[in-house]
Amino acid sequence: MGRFVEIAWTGVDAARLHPARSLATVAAVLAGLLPYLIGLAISRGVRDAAAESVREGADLYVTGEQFGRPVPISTSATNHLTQIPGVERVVPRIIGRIELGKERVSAVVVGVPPEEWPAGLECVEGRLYTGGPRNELVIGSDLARRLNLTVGSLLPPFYHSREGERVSEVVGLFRSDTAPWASRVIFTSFETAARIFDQSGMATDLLVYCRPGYETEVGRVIQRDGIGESGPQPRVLTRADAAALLDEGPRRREGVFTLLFALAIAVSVLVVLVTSGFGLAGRRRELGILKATGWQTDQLLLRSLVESLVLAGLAAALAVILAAIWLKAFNGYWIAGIFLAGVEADPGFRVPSRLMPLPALLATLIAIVVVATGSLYATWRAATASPFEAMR
Amino acid sequence: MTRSRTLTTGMMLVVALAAVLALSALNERDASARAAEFQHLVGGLGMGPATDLSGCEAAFDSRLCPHCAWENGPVPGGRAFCPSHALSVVDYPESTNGPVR
Repeated sequence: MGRFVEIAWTGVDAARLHPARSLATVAAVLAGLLPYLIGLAISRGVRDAAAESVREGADLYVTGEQFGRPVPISTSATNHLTQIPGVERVVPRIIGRIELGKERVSAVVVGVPPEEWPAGLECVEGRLYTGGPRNELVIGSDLARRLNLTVGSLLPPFYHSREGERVSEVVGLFRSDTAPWASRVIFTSFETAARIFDQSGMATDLLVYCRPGYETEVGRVIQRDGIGESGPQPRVLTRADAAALLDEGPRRREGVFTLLFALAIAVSVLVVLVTSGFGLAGRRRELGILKATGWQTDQLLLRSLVESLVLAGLAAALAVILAAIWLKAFNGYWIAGIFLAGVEADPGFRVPSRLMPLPALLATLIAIVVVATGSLYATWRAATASPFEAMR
Repeated sequence: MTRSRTLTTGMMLVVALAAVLALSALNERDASARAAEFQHLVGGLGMGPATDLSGCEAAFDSRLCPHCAWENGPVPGGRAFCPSHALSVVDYPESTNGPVR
């Protein structure tokens, strides 16, 4: 046992004796592992944020559809839907796109009637809008940064409406770590949103809140009976439907991502092969000398295996630590834009990410496989050759 | 001495690893509370990788628009014409729950 441990320690020493080779091996593995871990962490973070969106959202989302495309629906449908047994309340909502400023920054206007908002909201700096005639806006962090807006800023009329244009006031800002979808939001009252788009009496969707257990039945009734006399065909999406999408989509994409990563890892194996034996005469010579001094092939393989484990463990640990630092301390600078389309190099919001133990463990296993595959074969080739040949 | 130093370095690496993962989990808890507040206010907004509606609406929230407007389905690899679907690590299938005909 003592002899076994001693041979194993020579593997650790071997990793230290050749710092350039060890560094090249760790770097090769790190180059594959780091983007892999960051990609999966962002995917998981967005999925968690989306799960929160589904959990805190409405029971049913009713939108209109004509010619196979979504269309607005009349707010008069609210009364029709409220009368369906099992429905607690129906909230009309406007969601639309506008562009602001000289750079035409894209923003998402969300208009919802004011309610009894809970006091002491942490997600908003400032306050929420009230239901008065003024245009009061709560805007997202990225939008505020790009347009240089703060609480109390006044925006000159940026829209045309038959009811006339008004100056809008920024009364609150969403904090940057709220959710990625809050970063470009202009949250305001339903009436203000209707004025901005000049679409009085229309909503983009109706949020239906049901009594527990009635969601499916209410959804069936809406799809069967429609949403009013002349309204468009309703499209109903239940919370369960949205949750199902949430489970299916990211898992599929993560699978594709892992497949692509496997290709990148295949390249890493070649790099490790070169750095650990094929292209390194010194390494072969060292193994030849050991063989000439009485080392057996299995002992050399054990030494190489331990060396591989040390380097792989180091690479995997560094990958996890660097991924966490890149995502948390540097907020995924540059790399978030690769995995999330449309996000700039310096994201204006807290990039959602979550490093899970399973990908970290998988990364460790992959690192071990890569380094061991690359180095064990090269070691075996050198160890089975005659010492004279190996030392030449 | 050298071996004990190697062991100490290894242990420090493991401790750093655990600390990074633990701190990451703690940060998430606060952010999650604020995210829940926001989602409650707006009635649930956003599911995908896009942060605005300038590109693909479905990539922003597939509840708003079930189809990707940029998808060129009949063209081989047509889905890749939408940057939100081609390059993102987060993607959702189209919701099939349509109107009753």
